[in-house]
Amino acid sequence: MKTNKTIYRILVIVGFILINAGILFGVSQVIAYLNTGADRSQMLRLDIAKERKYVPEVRWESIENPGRPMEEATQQKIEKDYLDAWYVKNTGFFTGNDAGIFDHYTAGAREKVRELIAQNQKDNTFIESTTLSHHLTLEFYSADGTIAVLTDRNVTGVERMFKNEQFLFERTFNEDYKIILLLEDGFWRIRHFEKVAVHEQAPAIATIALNENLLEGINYYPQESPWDTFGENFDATVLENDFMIIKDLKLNSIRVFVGYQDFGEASVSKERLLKLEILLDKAQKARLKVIITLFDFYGDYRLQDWTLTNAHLNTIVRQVKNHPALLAWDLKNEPNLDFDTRGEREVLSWLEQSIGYIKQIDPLHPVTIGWSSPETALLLEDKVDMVSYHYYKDLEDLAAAHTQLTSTTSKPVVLQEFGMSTYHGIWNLLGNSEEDQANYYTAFFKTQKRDSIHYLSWTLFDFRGIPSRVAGKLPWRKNKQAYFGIIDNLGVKDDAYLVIKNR
Amino acid sequence: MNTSKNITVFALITITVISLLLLSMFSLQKEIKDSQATFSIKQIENRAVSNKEQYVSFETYDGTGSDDIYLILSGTYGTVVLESAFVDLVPYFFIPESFTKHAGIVTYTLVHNKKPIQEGSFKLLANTRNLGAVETYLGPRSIIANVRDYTMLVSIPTDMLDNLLPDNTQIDLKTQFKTAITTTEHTLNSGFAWKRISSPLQTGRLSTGSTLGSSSSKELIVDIFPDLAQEFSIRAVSNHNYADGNEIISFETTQIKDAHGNIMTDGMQVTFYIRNDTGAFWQIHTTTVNGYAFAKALHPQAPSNWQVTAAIAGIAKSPEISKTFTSIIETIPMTVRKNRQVVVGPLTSYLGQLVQDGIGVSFHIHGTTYEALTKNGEAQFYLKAEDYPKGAYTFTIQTLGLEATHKTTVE
Repeated sequence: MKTNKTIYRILVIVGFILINAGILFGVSQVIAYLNTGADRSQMLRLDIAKERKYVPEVRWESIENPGRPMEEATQQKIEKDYLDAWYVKNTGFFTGNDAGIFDHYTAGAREKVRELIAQNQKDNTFIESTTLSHHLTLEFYSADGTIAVLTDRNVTGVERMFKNEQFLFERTFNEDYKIILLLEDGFWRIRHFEKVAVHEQAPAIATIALNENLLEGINYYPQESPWDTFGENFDATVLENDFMIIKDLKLNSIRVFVGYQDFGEASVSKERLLKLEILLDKAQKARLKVIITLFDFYGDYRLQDWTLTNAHLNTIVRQVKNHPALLAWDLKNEPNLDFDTRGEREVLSWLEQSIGYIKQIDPLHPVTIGWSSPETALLLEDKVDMVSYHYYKDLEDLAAAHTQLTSTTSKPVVLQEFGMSTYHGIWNLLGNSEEDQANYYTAFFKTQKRDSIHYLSWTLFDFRGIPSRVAGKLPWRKNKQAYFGIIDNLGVKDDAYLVIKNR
Repeated sequence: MNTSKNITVFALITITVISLLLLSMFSLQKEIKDSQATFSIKQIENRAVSNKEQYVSFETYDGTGSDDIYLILSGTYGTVVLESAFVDLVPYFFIPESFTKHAGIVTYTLVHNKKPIQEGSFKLLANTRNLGAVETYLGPRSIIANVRDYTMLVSIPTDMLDNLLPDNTQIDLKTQFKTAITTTEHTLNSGFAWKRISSPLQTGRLSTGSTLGSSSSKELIVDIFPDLAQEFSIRAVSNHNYADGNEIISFETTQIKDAHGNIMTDGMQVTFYIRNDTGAFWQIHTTTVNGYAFAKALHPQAPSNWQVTAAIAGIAKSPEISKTFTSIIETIPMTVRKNRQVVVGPLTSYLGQLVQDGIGVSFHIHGTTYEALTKNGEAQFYLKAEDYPKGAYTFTIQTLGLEATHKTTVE
C-alpha cells in the first residue's frame, strides 16, 4: 500500500515535470518560428558580392582595331558580359528555362536561343555544357563605344547530351566564333553570333617519364597540423626539421596535400601559394622531391564546376611548375571513393579533363592519380604518366597486386600509400602494437626490394587531432587514423623508424 | 588596253567561281571505324539556311538491330539531338527549323548505342538571295564642325533569317549633307562594314543610309554643332550719355561665330562684366540668339565711368569698352519752406524736364541722415520740433552725384 502511494507520487511529479517541459518546449518553438526570416540589415541586399561560378580561361590576343582605342574598363565589362552570355546559354540548355537570356542577348538573338531551348525541351533533350578557354580578338570597336566585334578562337569546352533523361554522349570541342555585341541598357548584348570554324582536338601530349630511379618516400603532414599543412600552424622551421628526419630515413621524396577549399578554390590565396613555395624550398634544401596532391577535399566534379577547378589548377601549377623540388602532380587523392556519390562517369570525365589541362600548363612533370586500391589503379591508365595506388590490405597479397599492375602497364607504378596503424585502446583492444608495425615494414621491404617497388609510406607522425572530415566522427576510425606514424606523439621514434632507416 | 581589262575581269570571275566551288565542297566527313556499325547517313551537304525543316537520309539502316540511333548536331547557338523518323517506311532525320535557321558551321555525330559511329561537319550558309533589313548604327549622334571630329556609320546587313552575310559582299554606305550626297562602296568583313564620316565644316544635319541591292536601312541623322566660339567685340547702345537713372543702356555683342564662320547655337551663355569708377562690380548673364547676345542696364544716377567686357566662360571674350555718363544738373536747387520744411528740387534733367520719380536724395543734419525719393521732381524733409529746437543748422544734400551744403535758422 505504502509503496503504491510512493509510486503514484513519483508518477504524478514526473508527469507534471514532463508536461511542463513539453509546454515550455512548444512555446519556445513558436517563439523561435516567429523570429525566423530575413535579417533587417540585409533588406536592401547591398552587401551581396557576386560569386563567380564560371571562370573559363580568357586570353585577349589583341585589342588593336581600326575603330577606337579600347578602354580597360570597357574591355573588362565586355569580357564579363560575353562570358555571362555563354553561361546563361549553357545553363538554359541544361535547365530548359531561359533565365538571364534576356539580359545578354538582343531581341533578335534572344529569340534564336529561346527557340532552340524550347526545341530541346520539346524533344526531351538536355545539354550540359561548359566552355573552358576563350581567346578573344577585338576586331572592331565603334567610335561611340556601342558596338564591339569579337572573334573568339579556340573556344574549348565539353558538352554532354541527355536524351529522355538518359546520358547519351559526351564530346569536347574546339571552335571559333564571330560575335557582334551591342551596348544596350548597360549590358554588352550579343547581337550576332556565328560559329565560323571547327578545329581538330589537340593531340594528347606524350607521356612524361618519372625523373627518379626509385621513389622511396613518405606522405607528409606536420605533426601539429595534420591535413592542414598550409594552415595557421605553418612554420618553416618545423618543415626544415621534419625534412631532416626524412633525410635521416634516407628517403628521397615526400607527398603533400593541397586542399581545394584551403587554397581558396578558384581564386587561390597568395599566402597559401607562398607557403607552398616555402615548403618546396625547404624540400629542395633537404634534397627531397615533392609530389603535390591537388584537390584534397574536393568532391563536386560537375561540369559547371570545371572552370573553377581549372582556374585553381592554373594558378597553382603555373606558380610552382618550375620549382626544382617538384617531382610530379597527383591530381586527386582517392577519387574512386566518390564514384558512388558522384557517379563514375562524372568523376572520370573531370579527371581526364583536368589531366589534359595540367599537361597544357606544365608539359614537363608527370601526372598521376592516387587511386585507393590496386583494382581501380588502371582507370585512365592511358592518360596518366604514372600509375599510383594505395594499399592497406594484407601485405602477403601486395606482390601479386603490384605485379598484376606492372605487367599490364608500361608506365611506372607507385605504391603511393601504405602503412599500419598502431592504435590499440578502448575502441580496438586487439589493435596492432609497435612491434607489429616494425614487422610490417620489415616484411614490406622484403617485397619492395625484390620487386623494386616505388613507394611512399603513410605516414611520418602520429597525430593528436584528426579533423572529422578526414575519417568521420566515429572515434574508432579517428583513432586508427591517428596512429599510422613512425614517430609518436611525444616525438619518440617507433621501431618501424629504424626498420625504414636500416632497410 | 581594252583586252587587258577583259583579262582582269575574266580572271576575277574564274577566281570567284573556283572559290565558290571550294566553299561548297567544304563539308567534311569522317568515318569512325566500327565494324559493327549498321547505320550510316549520307554526307550532309553545305546548304543555305532555311526556315523549313531539312531531312538527312540514311546510307545504310539496319532496322533489325536496336533503334538506339541519334544524330547530334551542334551549330552556332547550340546542340540538338535528333531521333530518326520514318516517312513511307524510309528512315530520315529531320533537322528542325529552329536549327536550320542559323548560319554557321555545324558538326554532326551519329551515335549508336551511345558510341559515335560517324562524324562530320557542314555549313549552313546565309541566304544571300533573300535579304532582310540592313541594320545601321551611327554614333556619336552629334559632332562638332571642325577638322578633328567625326562620326561612324556601321552597317550590318542580314538575310531574311537574321544571319550575317558572307565576307566581301558589296554594300553602299551613303551620306548626305546639304546638297552633297556621297556614296562609298564597302565590302563586308566579319559581317559588317563601317565608315568614318569626317565632320563637314558647317553646322547642320547629316543624313546617312546604307543599301545592299534592293534592301535598305533606316535613315539615321547626326547633328553638326558649331565649334568653339572665336573672339568677338561688344558695343554699347544708348539714347544719351546722361546719368539720369532712367534710360536703359544696351550692350550688344557682334555675331559670335566659330573659326569656320558657323553661328553659335542659340542659348549659349554670355556673361557681361561691368565695373564702375568707384570699384563696384557686377555681372549680367545672358544667352545668344542667332549668335548675338544682349545685356541691358539702367543708367546710373550719378555721373560715372563704366568698363564693360563680355565673355563666354573659358572659351572667348571681347575687348573692354568704356562708357561715360555725365551729370544732368550743375547745382542742386533747394528751398526752405515754412521754416522747417526743406524741399530739394525741382530737379530737372537734360532737357529741363523733371527727373522721373524715385531719384534718391540724402539729407545729412547733425550727424543724422535721412533718405527720400523724388516725386514730381521734388524730395521733402521736415525738421521736427522735438528733434530740432530753434537754432541755426547746417545741412548737406546729396543727389545725382552732387553735394551741396546749406545753412538755415529754425525759428
